[in-house]
Amino acid sequence: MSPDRHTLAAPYALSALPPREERRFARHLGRCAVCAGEVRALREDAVRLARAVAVPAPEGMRERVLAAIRTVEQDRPAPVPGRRTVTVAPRRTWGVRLAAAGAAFAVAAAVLLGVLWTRAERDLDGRRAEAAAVTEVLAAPDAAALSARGGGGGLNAVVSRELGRAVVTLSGLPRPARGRTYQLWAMDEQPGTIRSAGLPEPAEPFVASLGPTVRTLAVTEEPEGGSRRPTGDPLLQLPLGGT
Amino acid sequence: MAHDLEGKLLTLVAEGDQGAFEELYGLVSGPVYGLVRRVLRDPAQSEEVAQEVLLELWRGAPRFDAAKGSGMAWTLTLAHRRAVDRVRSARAAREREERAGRRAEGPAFDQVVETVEGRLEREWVRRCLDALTELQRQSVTLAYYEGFTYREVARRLSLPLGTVKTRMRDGLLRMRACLDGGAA
Repeated sequence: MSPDRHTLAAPYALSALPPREERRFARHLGRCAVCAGEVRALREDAVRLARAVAVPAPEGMRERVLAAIRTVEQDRPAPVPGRRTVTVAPRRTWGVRLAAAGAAFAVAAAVLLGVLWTRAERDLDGRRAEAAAVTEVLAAPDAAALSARGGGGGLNAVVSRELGRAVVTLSGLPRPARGRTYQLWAMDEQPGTIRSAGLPEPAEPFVASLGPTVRTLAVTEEPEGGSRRPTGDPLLQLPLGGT
Repeated sequence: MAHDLEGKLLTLVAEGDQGAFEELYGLVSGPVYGLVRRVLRDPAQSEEVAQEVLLELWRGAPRFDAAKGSGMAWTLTLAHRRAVDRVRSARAAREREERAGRRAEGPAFDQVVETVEGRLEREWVRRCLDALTELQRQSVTLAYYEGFTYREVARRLSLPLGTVKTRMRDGLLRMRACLDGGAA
């Protein structure tokens, strides 16, 4: 390889290479740790050049961008050696069904799988089993997506009556205070028939079982370890409507 | 990276965390917009490109690799690339117009509001850039702020390619030493 290659790190970091040279050097970086290290450091220098000309973004951009991300799908993560990536075949079928519940939730549901497959797994077997349980519900032919908003948070559920299970995710809720936990409740049509459906953590997909007579899901905040019956008003309530 | 807040947020964004994205937006929207604006000059185009970049942060967050550099570096590299691509095509179009004998419209210039925090950073960088040799500074700023390739820079400064590449590297390293040395 020409020794000249290594002198391209600075222009590369400044985006000052013409397209073909840029592509060639990018390939070279994959094989040259020294150049990769140089580029990494020089890019941080370029950050300072950029910060020196920072200007607040114009009014309205924030709302437009935040609105846009609700309907834009995220890319699948790039395959990383050593990290397992799995494609789930049923994706297309439930994707169409979920679209009926709103583009925003369809995106969230699609990302759900991404979270499970790419997160660093401490408890590998536990995670794998959990991921399989989630996938099973999402892939069920009668999977239906529902969500409820309230108090800045959201209760999102993908429900399969056939399986008698729902994948539930709490969004937008803060971490519960120390010694407290969120608790999910499953309520029948008859008032008073209410049973705990588990202790979900914020933003973590959670598989809950649903008896055939359950009509509503609700979330309250309870002491750590959960309560037998809710001790306060529901933070969020999700009627399971047509499912 | 010890304090890579943007990187930590990007990792959360990659998992679909919209709250994390909002926080990230707050941290990077100024640097992104300002950089794009500095390269493109035209406010309308700058807004368009900056928006695309910010949206791409959401879309492409799963590709961010903290091992390869900070979140801010990843973000600004993306922003800079897009801005540079745009300014180069605009420039090429203008040159075609000029060659065809038509007078090309220049880029719109207007006042850009400075923020107080930006001013400090701006001052430091300006002083450290001033401490470089003329050729080091020009090589860096013509490339970074004006979007010229190193070959175009060489042509403009009437220098051999090798010299321009070296000046770029030396300029950045000296700026780094100056900023790190000067930071209290």
